[in-house]
Amino acid sequence: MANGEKLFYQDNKTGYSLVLGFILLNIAATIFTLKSMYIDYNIGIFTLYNIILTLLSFLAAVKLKKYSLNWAIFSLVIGFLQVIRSFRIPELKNSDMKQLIVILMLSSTVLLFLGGITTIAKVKVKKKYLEHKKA
Amino acid sequence: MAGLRCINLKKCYDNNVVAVQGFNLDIKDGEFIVLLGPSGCGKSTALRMIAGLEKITDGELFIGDKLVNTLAPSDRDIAMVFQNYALYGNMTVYENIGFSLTIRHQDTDVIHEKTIKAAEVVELSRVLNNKPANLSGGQRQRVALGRSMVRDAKVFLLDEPLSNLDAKLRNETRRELVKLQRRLGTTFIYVTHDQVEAMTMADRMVIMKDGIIQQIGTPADVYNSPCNMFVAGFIGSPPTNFITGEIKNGSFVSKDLTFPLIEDHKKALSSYENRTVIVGIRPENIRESHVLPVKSNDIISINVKLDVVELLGADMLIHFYLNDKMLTGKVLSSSDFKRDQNVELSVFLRHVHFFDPETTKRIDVGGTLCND
Ligand SMILES: Nc1ncnc2c1ncn2[C@@H]1O[C@H](COP(=O)(O)OP(=O)(O)OP(=O)(O)O)[C@@H](O)[C@H]1O
Ligand SMILES: [Mg+2]
Repeated sequence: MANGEKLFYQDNKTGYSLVLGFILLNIAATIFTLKSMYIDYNIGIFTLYNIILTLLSFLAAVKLKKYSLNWAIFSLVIGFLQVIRSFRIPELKNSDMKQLIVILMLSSTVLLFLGGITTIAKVKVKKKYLEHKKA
Repeated sequence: MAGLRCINLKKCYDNNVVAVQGFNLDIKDGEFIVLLGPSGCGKSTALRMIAGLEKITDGELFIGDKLVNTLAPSDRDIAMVFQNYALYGNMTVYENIGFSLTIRHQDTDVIHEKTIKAAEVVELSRVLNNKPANLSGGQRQRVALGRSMVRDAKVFLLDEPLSNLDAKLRNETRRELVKLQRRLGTTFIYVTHDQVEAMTMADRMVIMKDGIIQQIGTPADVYNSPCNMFVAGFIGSPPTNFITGEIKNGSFVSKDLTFPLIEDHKKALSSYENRTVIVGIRPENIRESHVLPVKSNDIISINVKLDVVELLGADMLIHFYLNDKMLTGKVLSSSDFKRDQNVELSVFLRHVHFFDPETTKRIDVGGTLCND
């Protein structure tokens, strides 16, 4: 595991990149879903949700870069929501797409969890280092 | 770490300006070399050729045993520090120092280790998370130094790194640089036009004028035995007084000043009998008479009327006319001379230098004359 001193000076690039990866995979899933969704009022809600999700997770990525514990926890929450969503995919015109979309969503969730968990671990190491430094 | 050898380096810019020529210099491993000369004499050009930022027109450059004429700057194992620091304002000190490793995609642990080590050496450990804007000038300069240190360069090139600092900080940083060089044991080539910097820091200094090396030697060498009138005039503050005269019957004779030669000078000047020579007398060898221990034939007295008196603190500069020749002397301020006062001064003849007016070279007194 990385040493605390290093974390004190270097950005959390791993956490940042993992969450960016989540955003990319989620966008891909969104596009494939939209492509075969029936046009009704669900499509508006679905789009809105994904726009907000993208914005929030980008904010989280930037915050993780600076070792924010709260945002790391928040990204885990987003991850749980994502798992739930992947079982509740809207009705599709083309049901062959369903498998691909589920895979995309689940793998995006894996990235997000990895990002959140490694960040939480790093925050702990860093905190320990800072306490040690003060003493 | 490595020595460095320049053989007949020449730089001719596109507009046919010859900025440096006949640049021969052998630098030993771990030496602190200072390039000194007036503005525009080609110091930076010489340094930039060594760094690889400027193409070498002619000649050979070896770092260690490797001919590096055609190598790119990044392959020469050198580190350069610029006058204006060239730091990245949006990065912290830590990121600035580690930057050259980051762009080489080194492992973050390696980057961290080297950055921390460099920061310790330049004593920046406490400000690593600051941005350059929040640092003092001296600290910024040290960031620039630290940044060049992480690369394990064989040779450090510094182009007037202290000229942006105030006088006090410059003195401090100067000492720190010398200490740093000793600690690292790396070859330093340092460019400056400040002779105090050069005298205090150099193992050896290289005096340049108009792209040509005038003299290479230790600071003491260059001060005590300048090889020509330019060096004698350039090194030392205030500059050397020059008086043109003739050698007649074992005496230096001019309308301003006449004195008998001491034995050592007589021998050296034997071939100049009845010929014109120029004598150079440093201001610090023109002193007030009453502080001198004993009269001897090495010392002559002159009676002058002071024209201008400048108090420097412990010392006092006095300017006076001998006939119509303005000379400068340096006396203790305790002698309390006043403007327009008539005083008796002593000239130390043992320390005067004679120069050939045609070649402007020093006529040597019983030693070896330095290089051409
Ligand atoms: N890119 C260039 N193109 C043409 N001539 C140049 C160029 N750079 C420098 N020169 C000329 O080469 C000569 C030496 O310049 P250089 O910058 O080496 O001087 P320097 O000794 O570093 O002076 P300073 O103490 O002012 O920095 C000068 O006469 C200058 O005008
Ligand atoms: Mg210059």
